[in-house]
Amino acid sequence: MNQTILRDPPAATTPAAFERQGDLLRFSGMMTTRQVPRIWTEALRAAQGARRIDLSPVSALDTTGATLVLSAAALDDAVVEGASQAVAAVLERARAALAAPRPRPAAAPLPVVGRIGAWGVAGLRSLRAGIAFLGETAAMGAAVLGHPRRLRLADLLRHLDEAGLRAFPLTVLLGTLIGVILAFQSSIPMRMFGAEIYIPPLVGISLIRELGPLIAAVILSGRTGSAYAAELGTMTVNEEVDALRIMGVEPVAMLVLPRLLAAALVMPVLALLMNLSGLLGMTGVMLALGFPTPLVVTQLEQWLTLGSLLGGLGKSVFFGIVIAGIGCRAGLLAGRGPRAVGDAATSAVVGGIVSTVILDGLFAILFFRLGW
Amino acid sequence: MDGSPDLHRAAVADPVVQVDGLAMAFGANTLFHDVSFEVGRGEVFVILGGSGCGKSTLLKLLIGLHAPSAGRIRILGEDLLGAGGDTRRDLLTRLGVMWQSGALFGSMTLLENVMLPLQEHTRLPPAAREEVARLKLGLVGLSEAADRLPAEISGGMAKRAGIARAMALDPALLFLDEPSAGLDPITSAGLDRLIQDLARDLGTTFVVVTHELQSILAIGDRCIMLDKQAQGIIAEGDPRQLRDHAAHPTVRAFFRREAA
Repeated sequence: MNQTILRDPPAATTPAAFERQGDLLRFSGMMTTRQVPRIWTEALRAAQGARRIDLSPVSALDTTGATLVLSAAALDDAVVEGASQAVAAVLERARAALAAPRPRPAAAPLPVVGRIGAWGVAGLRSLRAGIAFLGETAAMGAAVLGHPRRLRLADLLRHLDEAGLRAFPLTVLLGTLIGVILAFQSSIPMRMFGAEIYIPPLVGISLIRELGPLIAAVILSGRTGSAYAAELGTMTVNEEVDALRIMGVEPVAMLVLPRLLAAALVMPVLALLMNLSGLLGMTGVMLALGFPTPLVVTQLEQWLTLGSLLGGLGKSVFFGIVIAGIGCRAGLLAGRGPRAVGDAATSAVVGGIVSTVILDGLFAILFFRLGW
Repeated sequence: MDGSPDLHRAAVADPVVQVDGLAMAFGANTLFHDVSFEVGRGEVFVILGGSGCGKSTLLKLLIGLHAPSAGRIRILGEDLLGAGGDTRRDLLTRLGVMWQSGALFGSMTLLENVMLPLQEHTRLPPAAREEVARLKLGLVGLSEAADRLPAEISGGMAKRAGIARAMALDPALLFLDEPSAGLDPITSAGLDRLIQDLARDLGTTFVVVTHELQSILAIGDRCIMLDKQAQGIIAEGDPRQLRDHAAHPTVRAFFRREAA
């Protein structure tokens, strides 16, 4: 602190340079981070075979410059000489830092068979964790069913608001657009058969039975499933979940159940909203095609059954439970580090959408057998 | 705070940080006003004060993350806030910051963390970049942890890695935010030693925000003390002198209570 240190003077910098004289390599000028990259490669080339390195004309040296000097010296075991007191101090620090032991190279990757085994074990572990989560949730759900007071009403209302009410504008927008698109796209082939009058039942049935619940599920998965995963994932990373457990509060009861219940309650509402706005969009297209609204309504009345509507809304309840469950599970099982939360959100959305579609297929088979 | 007996303002020969009449207010809430001080080249300068006195905010003002309500700040002779484009970029390569929690990039190994500024701001060949980055990790004693991810290291290591990354470009000026907070006394003392060594051997200027009394006394060449009630500086000078001769009750309490 007391010595004069010539670093970063405001003006008049001598650029770093080097010259080779016989077995002597001489560095000069400001050997600093801003200066040395320019001469790095050539200086190392010139250092081949040098036995002595002279630093007496060096006006300033920082650790990057010192790395260059030491790399040059290491090539042929050259002796470094002529350093001023300040330069020598930096050089000594750098020498000690570079001499510190390096990390041992990582263990060789497992052979193919071993990797398959490791992958299988990891798969089984995550399956076990998933089953444990399912069991814990089911047990907690049953326990809370017996004592409804244990459910936190305030939490439930907040989740209903966040997952439901706040998704309304988006649902109405998407529903209307999808109704318009479906009606418009089907109007072209239908016109060839003069069957445009059947557009309302076509759009109506596909919306009510399949598309309404499915697209509402995609919205819930993207908006809410990911939010659950990120929220619970952050709590897990911050050890808040552990804190709950130690306080004797079951994380599943406090965090998961209100979310599951909210999603289950909200999904049929979103699906119904999706259906209605889709039908509205379709009606708009029909009007544009010259079909009056009463005609559209009559057609719908004739073709849509209460069973189709209830079937669609009923299965959407299960979509909601599955999406919220997968989101919460991804959050609670999140790993460590900043990537963990992002990974949890991704797997929540992907898992939510994929399992919704699979579940929808199962429902299709079920409804077919039941003759709905 | 006017006429406080503990303001031993010293003339600084070659200031790298000049703060003049700085004030910061959030809405009607004044955090501090009339804050002026200078930091000389090669000094270890400590900003201290109790919780909520605005020392972290002051640090953010110094590095130009926030704009002050009033006053002027010159860093290495330049106005960081007024500087635009190339001047600003150039200035930023001449200062380094160690964040309170390390702020290491979680998806990169420690080596890659240190290499990032070198990659962005120098034209070093890749092999040289790695060698330089390894040297910086060696300076803070983390050579062996070079390939680890930030999630896999302890809090003390994260702070040291934060210093290594802040030093990647050999800045003339290093800002450290709470370097010893949350560390055990041994690790904390090791970090203090590191700061002293780097200041002595590399001539780096340190501006350290802390409330750890041991650190302040060990590393501080000079310090200022901020106070919430006074909304400004209540003491300035050599921390050891302030410990022994402070007159202001808050300054005395700070140095005595924690020392006891």
